[in-house]
Amino acid sequence: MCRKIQIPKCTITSFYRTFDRLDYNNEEDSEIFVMDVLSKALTRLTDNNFDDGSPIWSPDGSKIAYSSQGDVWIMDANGANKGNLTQTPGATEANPSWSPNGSEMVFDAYPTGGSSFDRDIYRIDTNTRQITRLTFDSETSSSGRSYKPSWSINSDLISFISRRCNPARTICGNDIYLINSQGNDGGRVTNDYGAKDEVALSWSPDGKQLVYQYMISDGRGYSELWVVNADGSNNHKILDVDDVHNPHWGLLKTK
Amino acid sequence: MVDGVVGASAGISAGFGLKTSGDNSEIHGKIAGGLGVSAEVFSHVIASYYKDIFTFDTLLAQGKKSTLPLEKILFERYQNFDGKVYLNKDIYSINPNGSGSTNLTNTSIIL
Repeated sequence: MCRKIQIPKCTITSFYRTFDRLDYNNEEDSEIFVMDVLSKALTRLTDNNFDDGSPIWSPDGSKIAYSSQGDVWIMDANGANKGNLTQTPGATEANPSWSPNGSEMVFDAYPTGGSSFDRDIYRIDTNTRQITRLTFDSETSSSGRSYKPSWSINSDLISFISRRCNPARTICGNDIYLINSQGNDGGRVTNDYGAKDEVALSWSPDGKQLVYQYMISDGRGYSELWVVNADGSNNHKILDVDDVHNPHWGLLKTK
Repeated sequence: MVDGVVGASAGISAGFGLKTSGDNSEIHGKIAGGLGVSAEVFSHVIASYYKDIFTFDTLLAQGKKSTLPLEKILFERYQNFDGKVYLNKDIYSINPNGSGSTNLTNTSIIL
């Protein structure tokens, strides 16, 4: 049903499957659902004892990539034929994003013995499973990392969040950067070294803008939604509430 | 005495028309002219004849019903933090300019 709606990155999310209000420690793992945005009907696609997250449609809407058990998985849009695309022993891979033609994906990963603070961006061929590393920020400084890549729907540009330091290494923080699919520098979108903590992003359908979640650095853990042009201009807040997460920008076809 | 009238008539009409078929729509402009004769007895028409002399129908505009996709930004909102977890997690949609925020799930927890 959601393939007709054509929000390639927006109609799926993960929910907590069950919730025990009397014993918070019994909160179970997250699963992946598809929601028909028009009817608001939900269809459950995964049902296991693992945390399934970061689901994303393939460009043609026939498949969904997601992260689970430390790997990037692919399943049919109806939940059938699940299989792990990445099978790197020990490594933890997550947050996949399809290339415009669906033949490749980017994701973030950290190696055996690392932590989520050691993530970098990788590209994988969905047919051959050949993996190419695109960023090396976890090796350039102790606090460096790059994660949550988002491949533009209509270009070779990949946006991602990276924690990097200023040249004097006196200030480090999250900003939005661009690379192409070969890992070459594509520019810097935000430039505040963490004065604003960008934590999640998504391309606009025309590939000219990005929407991102800005974590307010005041200790409350609140977030806002901002939109910025890919060249860094016209950076502005679009939603004046402070509890928003994981934005996805897509197309809702009305017929 | 019979009160009868026989006369000729002529007329020109013009107008617009909308034709739709499936997703297609057309706007036509039409001009028609004709001549006729009629006979009346005691103000009752006992015979009449009218014939279109010309009809000019032209397609003024055509198009498909708009199927342009709407851009939407979907996001999650976490609300009502009780000190351990958020009791409400919902999916919202919003227009790229920040207007039209809509709760799509409107349920506290999916069980």
